[in-house]
Amino acid sequence: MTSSSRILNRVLLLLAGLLALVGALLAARPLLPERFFASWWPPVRRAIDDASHAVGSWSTPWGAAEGTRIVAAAGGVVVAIALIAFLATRRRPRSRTVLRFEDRAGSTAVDETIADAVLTEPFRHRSDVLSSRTQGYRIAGRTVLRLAVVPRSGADLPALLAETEDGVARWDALSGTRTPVVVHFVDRGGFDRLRSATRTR
Amino acid sequence: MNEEERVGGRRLLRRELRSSRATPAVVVAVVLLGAALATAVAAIWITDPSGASLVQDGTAVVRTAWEEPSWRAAAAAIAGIMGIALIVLAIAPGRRRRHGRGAARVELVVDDGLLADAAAQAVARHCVLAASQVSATVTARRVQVRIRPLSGVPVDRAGAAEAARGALRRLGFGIRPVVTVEAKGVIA
Repeated sequence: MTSSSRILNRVLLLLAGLLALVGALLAARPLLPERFFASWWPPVRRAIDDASHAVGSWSTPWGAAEGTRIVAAAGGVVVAIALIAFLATRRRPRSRTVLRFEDRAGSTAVDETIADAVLTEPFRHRSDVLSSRTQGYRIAGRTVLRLAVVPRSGADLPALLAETEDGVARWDALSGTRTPVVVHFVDRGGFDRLRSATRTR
Repeated sequence: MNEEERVGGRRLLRRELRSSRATPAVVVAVVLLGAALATAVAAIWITDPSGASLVQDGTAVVRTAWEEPSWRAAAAAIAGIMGIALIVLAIAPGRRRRHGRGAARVELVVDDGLLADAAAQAVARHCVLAASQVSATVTARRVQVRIRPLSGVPVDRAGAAEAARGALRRLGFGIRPVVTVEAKGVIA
């Protein structure tokens, strides 16, 4: 999901919230004191009536349906298409190909499992890491590597960070690029909470 | 790290530290989609004589409920609460329980629980207490450390705060410690 589509999430929530508040106001109108509505409700009411009257007077050449229904059907379809387009773009921008070289011989694609092997290699033999894995994402037109590390309770996080930086330096040398990397030290969840601070072999 | 990378890194961090609001947005979109499709189908179906009676019956039921003040009050209350909740979701920053910063080469994101663990362990080591006697909670700008002392043994509160601060500073996070010592201790 790109940043602009994240803003779209909030725009949709805001519009839906305003819609719900307008609905609440309309439903509560006869129950609330008249003076809250006296100043602005009659003109709004008149405008709505005028609009629905004008739309209702439309008719198709074949005279099969009246204007209100055509407008309701068309509006419903347009909103539905917009919402389907919105839903279709809601997914994490995973990208399993983290690198691509082009030369005369053809093109070479590097899978994220290669990056995973390089970046998690320092943790494989450490006793204070429970698990680690790397995934590729495509954000703002760039490939981003995200390395998630679950340390054991009591792990030396600064030392883990230094190890990570070493691994990333190896990846930079191997790939010949400087891919943006996010390192996430993840809290132990679920059954990992029950694990002891020391590893026994 | 050059300027472009730093700007890109800040954007990456913001994505990690803020909620995307994708789940509530998808739920709202699905509900609105159902309503929009129902409107379109009803508007088309009503031109057919068999559909017309059904749609008109439905409209009549809704209209009767709408005339009833108690139904209207209930609808207004539900819609009002939903509206306020959705607007809060749209506007609130949605901080996730993580801290982040740009490190030498990578962007570092650490869950608050791990920072709390690190602070609590440093305090327990400094005060020579069992790990179970120190607990810590990390919020946006503070780490709250609670110590259950050994009965009759005074606790070096300033030293404990300094130990927690130092543990977090080693990771590059300047989070202010607040140390509380419980009135009741445990017997060694």
